[in-house]
Amino acid sequence: MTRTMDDEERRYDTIILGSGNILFGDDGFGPAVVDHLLRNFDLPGTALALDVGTGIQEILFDILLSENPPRKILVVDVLDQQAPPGKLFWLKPDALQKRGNGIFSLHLPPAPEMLKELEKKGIEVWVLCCQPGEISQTMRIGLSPIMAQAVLKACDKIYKILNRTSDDSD
Amino acid sequence: MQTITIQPVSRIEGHAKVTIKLDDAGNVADTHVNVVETRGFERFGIGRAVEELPRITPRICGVCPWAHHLASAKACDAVFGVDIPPAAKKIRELAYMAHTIHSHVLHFFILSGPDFVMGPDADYMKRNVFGIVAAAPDIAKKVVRARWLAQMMTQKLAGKAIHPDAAVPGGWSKPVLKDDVPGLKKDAQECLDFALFAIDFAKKNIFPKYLDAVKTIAVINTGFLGTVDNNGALNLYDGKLRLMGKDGKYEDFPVANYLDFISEHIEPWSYLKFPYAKKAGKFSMDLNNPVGIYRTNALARINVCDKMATPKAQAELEEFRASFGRPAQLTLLYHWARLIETVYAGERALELLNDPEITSPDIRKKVTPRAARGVGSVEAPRGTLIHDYETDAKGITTDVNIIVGTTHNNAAINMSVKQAAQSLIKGGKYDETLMNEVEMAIRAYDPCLSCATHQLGRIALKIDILGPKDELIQELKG
Repeated sequence: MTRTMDDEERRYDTIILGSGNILFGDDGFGPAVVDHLLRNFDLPGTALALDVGTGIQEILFDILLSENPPRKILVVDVLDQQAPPGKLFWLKPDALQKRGNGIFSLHLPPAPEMLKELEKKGIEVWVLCCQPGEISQTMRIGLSPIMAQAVLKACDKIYKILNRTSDDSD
Repeated sequence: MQTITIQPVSRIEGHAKVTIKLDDAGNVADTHVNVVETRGFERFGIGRAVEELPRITPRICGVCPWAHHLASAKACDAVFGVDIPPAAKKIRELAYMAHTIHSHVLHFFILSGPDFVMGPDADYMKRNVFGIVAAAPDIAKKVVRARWLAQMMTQKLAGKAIHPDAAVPGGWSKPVLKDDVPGLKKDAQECLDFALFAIDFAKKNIFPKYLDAVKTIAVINTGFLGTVDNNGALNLYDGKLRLMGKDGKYEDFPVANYLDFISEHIEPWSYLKFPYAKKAGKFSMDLNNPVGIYRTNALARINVCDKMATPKAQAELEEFRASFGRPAQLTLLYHWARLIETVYAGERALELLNDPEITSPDIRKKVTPRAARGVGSVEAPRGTLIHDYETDAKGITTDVNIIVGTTHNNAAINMSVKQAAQSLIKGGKYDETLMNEVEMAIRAYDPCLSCATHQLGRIALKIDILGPKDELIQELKG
């Protein structure tokens, strides 16, 4: 079921933001995860999943200023951790900040400072990162096969969290 | 020679590096605004069914998706040789007015606002959106609500607000339902009310306080480029291009003829090209005698138009011109011009919603592939955006050229930074306040550098490798 941000008064428990540029190969991981979630999972009514593409900064600004922020934000993105391609890992903003700015490549990144400000507002913030196989330096639509497999695993992890059957943070 | 580097320039989209070179006396010898990102969209767009481009181009950038979406759709209309139904034009323009409000409010209050609300001499760590929340929480609430209303308008009209796909070659894919109009009117009215509040607030509380800065920071003299309708009124969605010289004289031309009026200069230190007025015959960024340089974006649009097509925006324009003349050259007036446009966008949205044709179901014409060239443009929040496509007989693209607003402003941004740096750095002395004012010069143009850089192949890349004492060890050129 597709939900949108059409009810200002509604307070979502969890907002999932798929961040990345589908025009740059594996950089489109975040949007692909959200697309798969919306097509194949029955998300709880308290959850909102958005493909924010390369526009995540604006959304985070608005959430930061909002009087009705969500309780939890899950950002889904790629991050080079020198790990095997497709490896998923959860990070908190503090861990991102230690790695410095600009760690997300080729599109406008959710700055760690911004995520930390959201935490100060009382929002629980997690970033589900995936080690990319290839972030194309030229435009190319489509994930590499191993990243496409990682999309399925990422959706399972997120779904478990949404349904509180597991705290899958590691 | 000493080199000062400011990297990254905070709170502008994309990445930029400013290099300021000082002479032996510690004064500014030269400056470069370097863009370090490449995206390669034009090459990517070749060899595709042209109707794909309005769906793909909004993904170039998350900040200007609507501008790319509509400029691309208009270029496709031209390629297919269709004049889309009036209702489709109106719906596209209505959605675009909502996007303009959404974007301008972001820039004024969140990206550039901290410079003014907090002040250029405020602690760097507090001179940001978080500082605004702390200093002016009531305004922050209004900002969020106005942006949410504008975003919801685009969502109601197009199905989705981020990376839209509702504009199609030949028109629009989703009619406006009569039942939706009252709600949209209510939203548009509230956006207009906020725009009027914002410009009133700025005129009373912000601009007077910083008028000295406005008169001194980043001031250059250039020409201007923007879009006007057949009556010479500002139009953000459609019309003819008007290229004005710094003396205020201008020429109008259809966007399809832009290559007859605009040339592109290349510098070895920048990925971005430097468009300039072709009739000038040459290109020079000499601050004392610039040649061919023009600017685009809100101040340019306010300058080139004879009038505003809506009453409240017209009143604001008259007040603005009474103070600053035409053309107004002070760079920081971009912020004021942006607020006038926000008022216009709110009024224009209401006008369109009061037009009974907005709910017409006749919103799309059939299109047939053909070998052709098509050019489309809109006034993006960041300046005139031109999409230029050529297709073969099957409708497959054989050439793509895109000029974004920030590219038009490339020379002007460099000049403004140089002017700011020259006036602020003397004898090698500067502090963070001064450096932030250099950044303010850039932010006035609301640049979106991530989609302004798009050249692959012959990349104008130059890398200097320096040793421990900054001696040049190796020079690499792409």
